[in-house]
This record gives sequence, structure tokens and C-alpha cells, in this order.
Amino acid sequence: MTNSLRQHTGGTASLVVGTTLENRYLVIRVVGSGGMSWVYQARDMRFPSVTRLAAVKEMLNPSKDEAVRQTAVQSFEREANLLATLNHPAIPRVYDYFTIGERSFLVMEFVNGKDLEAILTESNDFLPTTMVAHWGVELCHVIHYLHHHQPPVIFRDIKPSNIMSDEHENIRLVDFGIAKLFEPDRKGTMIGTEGYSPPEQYRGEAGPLSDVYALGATLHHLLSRRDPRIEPPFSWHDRPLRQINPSVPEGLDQAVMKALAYEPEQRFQDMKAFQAVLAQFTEGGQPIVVSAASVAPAVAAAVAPATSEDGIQPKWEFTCEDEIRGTPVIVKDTVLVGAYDNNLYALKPSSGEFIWKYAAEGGLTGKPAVFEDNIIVGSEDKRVHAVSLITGKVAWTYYTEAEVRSSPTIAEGHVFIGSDDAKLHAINVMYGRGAWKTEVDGPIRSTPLASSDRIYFGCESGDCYSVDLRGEIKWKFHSKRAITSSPCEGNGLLYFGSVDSLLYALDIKSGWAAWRFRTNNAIISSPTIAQGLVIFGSADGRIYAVDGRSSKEKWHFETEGQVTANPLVQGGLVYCGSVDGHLYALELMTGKLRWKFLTGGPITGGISANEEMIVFGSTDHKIYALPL
Amino acid sequence: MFRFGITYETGRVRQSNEDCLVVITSLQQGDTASPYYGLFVVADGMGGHEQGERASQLAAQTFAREVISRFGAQWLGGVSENSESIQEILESSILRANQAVMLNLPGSGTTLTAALVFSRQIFFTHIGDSRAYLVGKEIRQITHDHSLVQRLVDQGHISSEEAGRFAQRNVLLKAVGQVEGIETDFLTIPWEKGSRLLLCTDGLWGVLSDSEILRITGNYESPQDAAMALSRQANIMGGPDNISAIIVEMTGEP
Ligand SMILES: Nc1ncnc2c1ncn2[C@@H]1O[C@H](COP(=O)(O)OP(=O)(O)OP(=O)(O)O)[C@@H](O)[C@H]1O
Ligand SMILES: [Mg+2]
Repeated sequence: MTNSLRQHTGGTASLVVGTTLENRYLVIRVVGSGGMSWVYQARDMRFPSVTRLAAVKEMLNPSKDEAVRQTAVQSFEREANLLATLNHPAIPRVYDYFTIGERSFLVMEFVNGKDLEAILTESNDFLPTTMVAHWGVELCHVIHYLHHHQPPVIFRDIKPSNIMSDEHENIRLVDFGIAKLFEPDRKGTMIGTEGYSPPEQYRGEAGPLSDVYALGATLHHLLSRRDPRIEPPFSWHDRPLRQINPSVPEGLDQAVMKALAYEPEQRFQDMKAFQAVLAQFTEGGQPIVVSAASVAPAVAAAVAPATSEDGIQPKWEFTCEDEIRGTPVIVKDTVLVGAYDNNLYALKPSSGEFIWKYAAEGGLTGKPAVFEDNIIVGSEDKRVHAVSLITGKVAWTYYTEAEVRSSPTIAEGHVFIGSDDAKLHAINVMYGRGAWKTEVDGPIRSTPLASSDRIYFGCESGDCYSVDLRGEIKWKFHSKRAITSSPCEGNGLLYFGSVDSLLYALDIKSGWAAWRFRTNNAIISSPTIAQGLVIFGSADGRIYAVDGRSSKEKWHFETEGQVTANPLVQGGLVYCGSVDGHLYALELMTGKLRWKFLTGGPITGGISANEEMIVFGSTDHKIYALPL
Repeated sequence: MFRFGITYETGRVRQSNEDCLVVITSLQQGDTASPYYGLFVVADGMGGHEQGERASQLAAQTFAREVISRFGAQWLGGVSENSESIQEILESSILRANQAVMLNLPGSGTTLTAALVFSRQIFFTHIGDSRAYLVGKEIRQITHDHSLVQRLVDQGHISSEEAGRFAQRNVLLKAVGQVEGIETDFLTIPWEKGSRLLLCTDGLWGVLSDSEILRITGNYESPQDAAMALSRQANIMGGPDNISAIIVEMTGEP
């Protein structure tokens, strides 16, 4: 097996153009090189009147160690002797073999063409699949010949650079230097990026089925243009052929994957069987189906479970006089929701029946918070209102200097809430008296997060702040655009999105950026964290799940509109609304769609849940309760 | 502050030590001082003719130099506009190390596992099969080896028992200095009170089981004594490879 350090073998071609070897072979140019050798085009001067071309392969001296060198020379001789006994149109003829000093040379038929690796790199697009299938058929033929030769020959090193297409577009197998040296058990000899070889070959066992695998790997490379040497071995299932190259017929994909089965017993059992299937995909071949049962497993069945638009029946609906942009809360026996019609509604969770409403003088866009028997909510009338949960009558109001679009957070006996007056307000939750204000660089529309004696919030100036319980700023982090998204906490990090399209993870103690994750449009949606995953939406239309510790994307789900709403995770499902009017229910771990529910307008607010249902509003003026 | 101990031994079979360790700790006192930080790096080189030891050294030095010039600059000047995230700093520093090895020592390569400890958070970056562990009441492996054997275990082709005996145990799928634009693993977790951070090369974890590492580490109050005891035990087990480890403790508030 070739080691991955082959590119760096370091030797340079030792023959200069114009050199004559053995008084006979005039070196014309270098045509190729590999891990073990240089190959030259030469002219055989024995035939001065006709131009007879030959390929001269010079073995590179692989080692200063005499014993190692000896083995290398022997294997080179073996290649020469083996080639001399073979007789097949796809195998170049051997003319000569000799050694000069420490250097060994093999003279053989010159193949006028290009190796498949060169063809692949020189083309800018996918190769026609019929051509690749045709090559596959011819290769099966010659490898079948080798396997049935006496004694049988296992090629062991099938890969694009060892296959040439000659001037008649016939396939030629070059490089029979099969007994390649490698020093086992020494880290320097990494065979890890090899990629074309089957698992058993890593254990030093190679049989005819190993060539089946390597041919499969070669075809995979030719069809996908993805070099297996730079991918982890045996990772074919991570690179589904048809996903990379949609022009590959399904049956061809299945055939290649069958050849690439990890267990030899599951591959084609001989070259003829492989050839028969490949033949169906050559020009003029008849497509037949590879017996499905025998095809390699587990290309994750992407069959979505029935996504019933209509399967989900709302438990109830309630219509307000204007759009609902805020998030409801469910508390005790009440659903509370603020609407753009200035009202805070109290409804019965079981039926959606109206209990009371409280009228503010401006739209309610946030999510109410509950403290004992009072509900706290901010309004575009510049005030923060505390309303009795039982009677719906006002308990206190508190004035800020501009619209309140932030939602309240309650901690340590205080309400913390931002306002468009560019201040964070701390208000005594019992009496509505202001305790302190912290002035910042712009309106605050995100919901503050209170955690371990600190308050964290985003600001339209693009800054995220940490303040202590006396209102003193502890740190400030700057992003390029507004931070409307509300922060959440996990793993010692603070997560939030910015209109600059990035999701940020800051070290919560210092405010330093630990990582950032890029989406394709503004993030207004507030992240939530579940099972180590940060879930959030982006105006690029997607709902994302990103690993909170590594910043790696776990999945994303494409909706048909911007996602500015906040997701909710409940019982292993992610619920999230989209501007396309749907509420989506996705599997937390995979992002697979469970169901979706269509409302009459964009959904921009968040969701609340209890054991029986989820509740959310839509800009179609309705509040929906869906059963769980 | 940090308390740390190291061991750096050739072992009983190899002629030379192809591993490399780097430890950098810092302190700042003052009104708006940044919390202290520490950078801990282990690297295990490969490639014949002394290339391995040079590769690990070159990679670790280049990496640490980059981290210090970027992160360290911020640390001394506060957070600036457009500042890079710590992930970006660590990843581009590895890329620099990768370029340096490719350019200067073609044909060689090295593992690199590093932990940047800052505030109360640990930031890991990692390529290859050196490892990071958190050792407290239990032992938890943080990094995931980029090795053929690990890949086979992940795919369920061999069991973790078989993995210990697998012939190509030291075949890596990724290393610093092998291909352009290598992808690294990044992970950040909060420091858990009372736990120790252990970084080591396969000369240690390849011969001692996780539970042995846990037991031995727990027997010593001083991280230096613990590190020495670990390499002593690895040598008793034959010391087939170079043994390198760093054990870090965090004391007090950052
Ligand atoms: N008979 C030939 N006629 C023309 N070109 C040839 C011939 N044999 C080999 N070549 C060219 O030389 C390149 C290298 O040859 P070959 O694969 O035999 O070398 P190698 O050192 O054994 O390679 P590796 O060890 O990387 O597999 C081939 O990819 C091909 O482009
Ligand atoms: Mg070759």
C-alpha cells in the first residue's frame, strides 16, 4: 500500500532528456511519476528508421537501508517478470528490464494517452457517467483476466493514476508494482489517506474481492470528483454519489456502493458480476435494477413521516382585533397574550374561552412575565404594566421615556426590562418603583437574561452588555449590527444572534467571543438550548441546530420564509414559526419534519407549552392552541 | 492560578523523543485586568530521519506563537472592534503550524492537542491522536482521535477492546503538516471545580487504561508528582513509545 506521504518522496527524476540508456533507449521526456518511480517516454534506437516509442520506468531508491533496498529491487523485478507473462490488450507489453548501478529500469510499451487521474483533474465538470461505466466494464474485463491467470494475480492498487486511456480510448492498466513496500507499525508510514483500499488490505490481506472494492472506490472518485485519499477511509456513506453528482443513475450508485461494502461477502463476488451491472449504464446499455436486498445498507432513509398540513386540528383558536407579534405565557389556569390591538388577553387554556382583557395605550409585542399574582408586560405606550392575574385590573405602571418592546425578566425582587429610551430599567416588582437605570448606546428590544448576579441583554447599537445587580456595566461586546435576539446561557457561554447574520457564543464571565456561527441573513430569533444544541432561526429562512460546545452545525431545516420567531423545545421536538405562515414541528436531534401547521399570516412571535398543548399567535390575528 | 506538572520521557524502546510540550501561563493585576490565561500544547511528531521531532517542535512553536500574538495581544489591550473569536484564533494558528510543517519539513507530520484556559472556560483544538482528558472523580476523554482505529470503532467494525490490539493502531486520518487547509476539532467547556486537565500523547494513553490514569492521578496531591507517577507506570508497562503529559489545576478565582 502506498503511504500518504507519497507526494513528498523527494526524489527527482535522475534521467536527463537526451540520455541514452543501454545504448538503446533515448529519453525524450518525463511522462509521469508516482510514489516509487519516474516514468519517461523514450525512443528505441534499435529501430532507427521507424519511431518505436517505449515507456521507461525508473525505480526510485527508496531507502539507504540495504535490506529495504533489496526488497524494493526484488519487487520491481517481480513486476517485470509478472508483466512478461501477461497477455491482454489492456496490459502494456514489457520489452526489457535492467539495472545500472543502484538504479533499476523497466522498459515497456508506451501508452499514448492519459491516466484517469489526469483526465479527471483536467476536466472542469463531472465526467459523463456512460463513459465512466464503460471504463468500469473494460477494467472488470482485464481484472477478471488477472484473477483467472495461473497463478492468479491480485492487482491490489486500482486507482485512477494507474489506469490509462489510450489514443483509441481503450483502457490500459499500468503499474504492476504491487508488492509495494511499507514499514508496518511505524507512525511515519501513514496509510490513512490511502482511500482506495478495502479494510482487509489494511490488515495485509488482499484477495480478488479487494480489487472489487478498489474498482468501486475508483469509480466513486471518477463520478463524484471527490478524492478518497483526502477523505477518511470507508466514509463513502458520508458522500452519497447522487447527492454530489445528480446525473449518476440510481442503479450505478447502488452498484458502486455494493462494490464498496465493508464486508467482502457483501460485495460483487467476482468481476463478471460487477461487469454485468456496469454494462447497463454504458451508452446504449439497458438499465436493470440491482437486487435491492443485496445492496449496501443505510443511506439514511430520508422518507419524511407524513407531514400532514391538515392532520393537526387546533384545540381552539381565539381571534384578537389585530396582529399578534408577541409570545403567550401559560400560567396557572390562564393563557396570557399581548396583541397589537393594545390588549392583554387572559384566556382559559382548556377552551380558549375569554376571561378578561386589559387595555394598554399602545401595542404589546413582548412576552408577559408573571410574579405571584401579577403579570408584567411592556407596551408601546412607553409604560411597563403590572396587572392582577385574577381581576385583570392594573396593580402599578412604570414610565420609561420611549416605547417598550423588550420583555420583562424577573429576578431578585426586580423587573428588568429594556426600552427604546436606550436604558435598562430595574423596577421593584411589588410596587413598581424604579430602582436604577443603566444607560446604553441604543434602544433595548431584547429580553434581559438574569443569571448568577448578572443581567445580560442585547442592544440595537450592536452591543451586548453584562451588568451587575446595581446596574454597573461589567463588560460590553460589540457586534456589527443590532442585537434584537435575546441571550440564553449554557456551557459557561452566552448565546445570541445579531442582525449581522452571526450567532455569537461569548464566554459569559469575560464577554470574549468563544465562537461565532454564520448564517445567510439577519438573526432576530432568540436561541434556545436543549441537549447541548443551540436552536434558532435566521432571516435566511432556516431553523438551525448548532452544537453549543463545538459550533458545528448539527442540522438545519429550510422553511419558505424568514424565521424571526423564537423556537421552543418541548418533548424532543423543536417548534418554530416562520414568515411563510407555518408552525413547524421538527425532531430535535435530526431536524426532520414531523408536521407543520398553516396559519393565515406570518408567525413572528414565540410559543408556550404545557403538558397538553402549545400556544402561539400569528399575524392573522389569531391565537392557536395545538394539542401535543 | 494554575498549578501544573509535566512529564517528558523517551520511554524504553525509542531512541529519540518525537514529542513536544509547550506551557505558557500568565498573570495580570490591576483595575481592568483581564483574567489570567494558560496555553498548554502537546504534539507527537512522525516521519523518519529526525523529521518527527522537528515537526512536533515546529508545529507547537508556530501554533503557540500565533496564539500569543493574537489572543495575547487582545489580552493585554482589551477586546477590540472586529476581534476574532477564540475558535478563529485557535484554528488559524493551527493552519499556520500546518503551513510551516508542509513548507519546511515535507513528508513529516505531527499531532497537536492544545488547551487554552481562560476565564473559567477551556478551549480545545485538536488534530491527530494525542488526547485531552478531564480528571476529577471520574475521567472524561474530551478529544476524539483522528485515527483509523477510532474510525473503525465509531463505525462499529471493531470493539474498543479489539482497538487496543489493532495492528494499525497508529495510522492517523489527519495530522498537522500533511495537506493544505486542514480541518481541526474545536470544543469549549467550562472548567469543572476540583477537576484536573490532562493532555498526553499515545505513549501514555496507549499503555495505561483510563481507569489506571484516574487512579494514579488521584493518588497524588501535586500535579507534578502525578505526572511523574504516570510516566513511571507507562515505563513499567514497557514504555514502547515517547511519554508526554501535562496536568493542570486551577486554583482560586480567575
Ligand atoms: N506504459 C506507460 N506509458 C505511458 N505512460 C505511463 C506508462 N506507465 C506509467 N505511465 C504514466 O506514469 C504514471 C506513474 O506510473 P506508475 O503508476 O507505474 O508509477 P508508480 O510509481 O508505481 O505509482 P504509484 O506508486 O503512485 O502507484 C502513470 O500514472 C502514467 O501517467
Ligand atoms: Mg501508480
